[in-house]
Amino acid sequence: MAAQIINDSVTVQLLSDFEKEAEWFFQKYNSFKDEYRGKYVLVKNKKIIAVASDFETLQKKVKELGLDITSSFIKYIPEKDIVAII
Amino acid sequence: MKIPVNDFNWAGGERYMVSLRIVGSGFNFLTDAIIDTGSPWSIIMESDLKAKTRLPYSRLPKYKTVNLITRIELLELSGECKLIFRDTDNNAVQFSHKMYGGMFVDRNVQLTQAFPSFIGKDFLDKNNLFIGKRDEKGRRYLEN
Repeated sequence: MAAQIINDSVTVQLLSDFEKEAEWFFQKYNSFKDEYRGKYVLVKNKKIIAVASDFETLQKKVKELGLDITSSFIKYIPEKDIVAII
Repeated sequence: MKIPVNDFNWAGGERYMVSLRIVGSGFNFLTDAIIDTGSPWSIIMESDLKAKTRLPYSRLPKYKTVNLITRIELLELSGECKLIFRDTDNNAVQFSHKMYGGMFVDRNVQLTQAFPSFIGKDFLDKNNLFIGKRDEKGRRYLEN
């Protein structure tokens, strides 16, 4: 099936927000990575608003904040930098 | 149709990355994926399988073992997924595509949780998409 334009303004808005969080995260990554190594972080409105050492704890924090994990910008910051050819 | 692509620095170098919604049997989530023109498969990696789905991924049928930076089991996901992107006209653009799960054989948490999902050559070829030249604002797009 070829590409289809669908009527889904909710997804468009969520993707627009998600792209902004991604842009902020990757542009600022070097400025905060040392502080959060080995941790999961939740980014919202271009800020890290929750941090946890394990995913289950971060999941609880996402819930407590009233956010939907499936549309939240969550990343794990590795303890050591990964360098990969892919 | 033009879908914004970002050059983000990840794992030692710049990567083409794109945000999308992936809808499949038992999951529906937003993520950012690397566009990997060298990968024959499009893969929902373990970081997303764990964080964004409730799939029992360690028990999914195995398709094959491949090497990335270490061995990865490609897992069969039921049916095709819907991949939804935002284009530059703020339309939701939907594609159907066969996605695989990706689980690291080596249980190194650094890799399992840090590696993002992939949009592979299979998806680009099937939909006649390519990454175009930068525009006057320095942005790139998936175009057809």
